[in-house]
Amino acid sequence: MSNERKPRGPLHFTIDAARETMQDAMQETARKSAPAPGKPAAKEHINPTRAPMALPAEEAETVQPAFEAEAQQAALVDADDSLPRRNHWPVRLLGWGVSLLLALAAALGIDALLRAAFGRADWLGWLAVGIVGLSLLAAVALALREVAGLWRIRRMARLRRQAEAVLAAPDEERLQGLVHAVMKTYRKREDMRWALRRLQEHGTAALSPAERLRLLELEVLQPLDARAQRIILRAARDVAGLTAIVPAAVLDVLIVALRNLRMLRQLAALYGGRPGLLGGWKLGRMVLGHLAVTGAIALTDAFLPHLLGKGLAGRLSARFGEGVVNGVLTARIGLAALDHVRPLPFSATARPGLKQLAQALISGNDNP
Amino acid sequence: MKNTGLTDELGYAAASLADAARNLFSPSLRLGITGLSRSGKTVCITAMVHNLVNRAPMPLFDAARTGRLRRAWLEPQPDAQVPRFAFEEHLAALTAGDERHWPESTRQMAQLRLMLEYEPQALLARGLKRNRLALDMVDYPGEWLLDLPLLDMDFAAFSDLALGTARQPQRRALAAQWLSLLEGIDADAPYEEETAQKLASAYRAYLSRCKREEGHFAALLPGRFLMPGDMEGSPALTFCPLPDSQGAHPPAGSLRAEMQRRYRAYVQHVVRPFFYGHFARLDAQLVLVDVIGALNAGEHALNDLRDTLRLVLSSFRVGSSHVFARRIRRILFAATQADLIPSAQHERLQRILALLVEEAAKRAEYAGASFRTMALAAVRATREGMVRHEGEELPVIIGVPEAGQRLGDEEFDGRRETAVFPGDLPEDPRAVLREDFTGRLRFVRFRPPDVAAPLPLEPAQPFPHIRMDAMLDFLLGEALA
Repeated sequence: MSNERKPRGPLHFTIDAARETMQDAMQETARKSAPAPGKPAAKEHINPTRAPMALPAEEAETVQPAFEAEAQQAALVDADDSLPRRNHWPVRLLGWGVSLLLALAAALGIDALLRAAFGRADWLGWLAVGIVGLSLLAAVALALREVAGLWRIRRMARLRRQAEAVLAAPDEERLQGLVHAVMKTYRKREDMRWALRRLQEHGTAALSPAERLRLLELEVLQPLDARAQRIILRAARDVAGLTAIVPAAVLDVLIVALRNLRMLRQLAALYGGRPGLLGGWKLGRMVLGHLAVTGAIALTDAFLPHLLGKGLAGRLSARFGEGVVNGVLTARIGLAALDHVRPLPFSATARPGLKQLAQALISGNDNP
Repeated sequence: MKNTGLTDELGYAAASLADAARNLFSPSLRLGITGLSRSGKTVCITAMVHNLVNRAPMPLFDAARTGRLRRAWLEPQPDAQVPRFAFEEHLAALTAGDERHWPESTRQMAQLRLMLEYEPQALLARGLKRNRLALDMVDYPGEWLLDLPLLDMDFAAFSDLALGTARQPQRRALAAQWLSLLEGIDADAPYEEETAQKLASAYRAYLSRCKREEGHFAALLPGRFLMPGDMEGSPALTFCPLPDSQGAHPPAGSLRAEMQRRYRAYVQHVVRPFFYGHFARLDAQLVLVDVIGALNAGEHALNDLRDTLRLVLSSFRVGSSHVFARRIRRILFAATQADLIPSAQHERLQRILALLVEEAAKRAEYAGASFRTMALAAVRATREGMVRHEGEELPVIIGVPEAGQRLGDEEFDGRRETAVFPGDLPEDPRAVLREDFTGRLRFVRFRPPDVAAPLPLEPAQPFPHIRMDAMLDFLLGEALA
């Protein structure tokens, strides 16, 4: 089934073919030495001397490009666009040292406890061993889950980066790989069954991978986008409401931080990331970094008056104005998070805007 | 344009104004389906109407995919004096079971109106219940389309073009009889009807020879000589181009003067009404180009096709509309019969098409219209497959070739399913204009797919297609928003 995409070996080795092979090799080495996203696609070479012919239909196997036929491993480049970082080895060493010391202390403590328990009575000792064992097991499970969450977050972010690279330099094979990778993300999700079924019903209607990708975004991601908007809106409203009533400034900060973290985790889970605690933390850092780069936090205050009618809300009540500012900031963070958790950039559908969300936040309309 | 006057333009402005006023109450969209003969206009309209009326699955057509397009039905067209497009007849031809065949070539103008009911997205439109769009389509013999450039030519220019083309090497043999007849004639001698008739019929014979032998597009002028409609034998159709007409002031009563008069009459009474009646006031245009057919005929056919398209497309009114000038805002250039090559090569076909229509597309963009190119099959006659041949995987298309079609030394009987590998299109589209690909590429015509004739009250089987939905989305998407 997957034969169609296989590069056809040129029988007649023309000058052109030789040149292209060399280009391939050069790109390969270039990629290894300096990882760059969006490696320009090596054009498959079609042997120009194949003559037209007719064959009996029985010899041919019907191969219709369709969504089912995507059973191929994603042929995507792994783009690593991390910046060179400063080496923080003293900090890291300190961190390792302190953690190891704490772990040692805990181990010693447990050891002492076990000895003491065995000293009292044997059954008490075994009970303590059992409890320690169970706790260890739980700790390992927890750690594994956190690792899995982190891994999922990373995978989503990587998929997104790959998608951007592929869309910047579209190429049939890599687009196909992208379609497959996104579909694989949702294959096991109960709530996505309907959307994936619809996609499969479209069958062979979309012939080229670019068309399939477009349909995928419209059928699968668009419904998720609507749910994401509701999640963001709910979080923004919570933050706005709570910060307007809660008296202490410290509590404000705590509420904003916790509610935002929860929103980020919900968003990531919605698009298939399902992070753990650490994953949520990492996602928060990624989003904040993104916001800091785009200067969005500083912008929020500057253009809010336009949305709210020249600071009307603020004049009505300082607390209410503060609440709205916090709410809009939350919405802003949610929108920025979409860039990290949504597997594809917005192309067939429109990107939800802050303005819509802010208006929905003020008007109390749940469907922006 | 040289052969149109102020009155024409005033008429055009008035008609545009009337259209704009009518559109306020019942929105309509005039879709111009433009294509030389054999480019598949009739099949395209038939399949489009059938698939819209029967709600065929069209995922790339957004209004249909989301279910906003509620229903579509045929209505009597607004122009009472134009024949109705024989939709039922063409549909019957395509769905006749074992007897199925492509519709006959169009001999006269025909019109069809399709009503679309949809759910508007804008709140205002929803409130006003503006939820219907009339889609007007016109079918006509593709030969007539070639006449449009005549609006800009006088008799001398027309003569130069026709004679220049006839003297090209690949036309020489076809035009020999007419050219030798011209040799022995003094154009400034007094006019005799007998000479005029003889010349005209020789010229007509030359044109129909070009037509029969595939791959000649340029200067098959005037179009009514090939497809006369109801004007057969009238003086306006009894003339031919004459040499050395540039700058000549023929004496009154001479052959040249009479020919010139008849040419003017032709432009006046045939071309002008055709243009102003059907092409001047379009909203969207679908340009069907039979790239596949031209590839079969060789590189001169592609060059010919390119020059012809350039001439024809320059007479359309493209740009943003206003009340006094209804203009084409969206143009879709489609390479038809995309089902004759494996889908992996559609992009190459599209690139060849882009090369052919480059100039027209740029002009459209500059004027503020949007355009797209795509590989299209209104009715998909084949499916795709893979064959192992001499240790190589060959992408093939599978279908029933038409009886009498040949590939190599094999002749098809029109019954058996066959897998065909048509050859590889070149990666660089410009190669098809330079080199001869006739040995390396061969596109066989296939019979229509076996689609059952619709039964009363039962859901009709839609025509399989390639990108018909993407085409509708581009042309109608905005109007159905």
